[in-house]
Amino acid sequence: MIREKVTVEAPNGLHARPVTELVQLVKSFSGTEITLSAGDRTVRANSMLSILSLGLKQGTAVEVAADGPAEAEAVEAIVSLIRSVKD
Amino acid sequence: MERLSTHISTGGLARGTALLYPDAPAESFSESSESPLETFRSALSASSREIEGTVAEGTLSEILSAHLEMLSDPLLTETVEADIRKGMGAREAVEAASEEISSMFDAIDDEYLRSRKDDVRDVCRRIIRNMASPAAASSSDPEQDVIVVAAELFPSDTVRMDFSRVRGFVLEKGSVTSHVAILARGYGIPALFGIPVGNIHDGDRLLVDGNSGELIINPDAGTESHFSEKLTSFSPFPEAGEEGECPVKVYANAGSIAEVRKAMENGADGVGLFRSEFLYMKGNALPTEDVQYETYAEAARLCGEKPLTIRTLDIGGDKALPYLELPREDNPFLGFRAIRISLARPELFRPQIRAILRSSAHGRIRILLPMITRVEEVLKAKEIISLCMKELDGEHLPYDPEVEIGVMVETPASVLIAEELAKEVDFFSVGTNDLTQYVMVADRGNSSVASYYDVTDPAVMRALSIIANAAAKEHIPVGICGEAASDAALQPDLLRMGFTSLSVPCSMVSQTRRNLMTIKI
Repeated sequence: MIREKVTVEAPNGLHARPVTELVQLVKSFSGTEITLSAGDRTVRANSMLSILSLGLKQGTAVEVAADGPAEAEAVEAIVSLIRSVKD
Repeated sequence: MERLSTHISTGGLARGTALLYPDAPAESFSESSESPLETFRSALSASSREIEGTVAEGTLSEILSAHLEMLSDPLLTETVEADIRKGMGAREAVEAASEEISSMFDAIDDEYLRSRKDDVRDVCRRIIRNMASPAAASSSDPEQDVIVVAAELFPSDTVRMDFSRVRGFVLEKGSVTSHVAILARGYGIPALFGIPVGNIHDGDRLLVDGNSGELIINPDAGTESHFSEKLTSFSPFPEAGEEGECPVKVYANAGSIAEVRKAMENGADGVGLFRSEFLYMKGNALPTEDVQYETYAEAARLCGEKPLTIRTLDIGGDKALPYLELPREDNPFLGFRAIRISLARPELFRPQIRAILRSSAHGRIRILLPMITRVEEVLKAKEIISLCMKELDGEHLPYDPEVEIGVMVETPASVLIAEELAKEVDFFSVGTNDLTQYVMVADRGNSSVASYYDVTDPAVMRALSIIANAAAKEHIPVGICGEAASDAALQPDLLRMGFTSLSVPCSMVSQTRRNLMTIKI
């Protein structure tokens, strides 16, 4: 299990488009269990509705956790995607 | 009480409860005896295909990709399927999940992100719309008369509606030549266009007067009772015409079996245009040859000795099929549509031709090829038809070897080569709506060029005359199946030009016959 924290910097937060991309990325790591946590909630990262319901606005700290064969790559890729969202 | 009025409307009177589209009543299909789980899953895949088949750019395309992702979201599917396993119906389970998931967004303290709950609702509404289940029809009062209210309706929206409940349309966009208007006339119900629909709410009481173009929202008792009196004295379908001398054949346009039946009840001389698209738009996959055959055969039996003119698939342009992938086009009306698709995709065309040929054993069938621009297209289509005949011979399936083959004359090219075309076919049918649009270079849905979209323009009238002369030269019948056919002011001119049949909406058959009987040529 690998965890890493990242802060959402995108001014509009993680809205529908980046979350769509994120979920598609997550699905490419099949066999690895990936979750996102914010505040006191943890959700499965393969569910776009669950992630959207976290309301990840600018400044929110998110913890990405992965467990499985590709856990290291998965966490790295997801964290970098969240950092790259600029709109 | 509020009154709104428009000068764009199709005639008729109606009252009912406002139903804001896309919540219009879904037609109950017979095959929906499937389990709620199957209903949900097939509605999910239908919704995905629907989104995938939608052409969009920019923000809309981003929204649709997000919606597509939501359709496969495990949170949604698991929540719905768990409720179904607890005994809920498919529609109720999706409604409950929509409520449950969207309420998860309420705690978000960012307005923009919180408003994503609307996407959840929208996606769930789409799923429900794609459930052609009896539950969907029975969840609201099936006896209730509804007036469908929408900003805009597309042909694919209207094919899902249950017309036993729809009494009228109130739309913001569209014109009297739009598909909705044609459909409304076919059902003898009024449609108002150009009405701002923002202030109309689901469940509002509406009185629709298509004759004066007036809409009354939540009428007071006096207005309502006055309207009731008008309604009882008004009949959308005039009595079938008395016997008399009618100078030309009066055919009906039909887009369903119900309309073929109505056409015959109203005394039509045949069906001048049977639009086969409804067969293709109803389901989520191409209709099989057998399904098509059964429908065409039923229509042929209803027509008896009278001709049934089946137009082969006319998609493209503004008519898309969600499950059929066609390339995105900048100018769909100048693109890959109708006969062009049929000839390029024999896997679409051949089953339809075989089904039509097989149905010709049950009545008098005429095959109508749409959007012809070249003689070669006709030759190629005829070649495919004779190949299909040979196949049927080999399979010992009966058909009428004398089945008539005709073309739609609706492009400027077909007008210019009308004489050559007339040598190759048994009849012409002029689609004045597309012809006017193509000759005048004016989109019939675009209100800013509405004045150009005029069938009485000298250029269009000249085109009609060229077509009628070419047909007369080869002694083949030539009919009109566009809006112009039911225009009483135009009918004398059309008769003088030598048109031999007019094909009009089912509801206007008797009226047209009465008009024609008074015309002196």
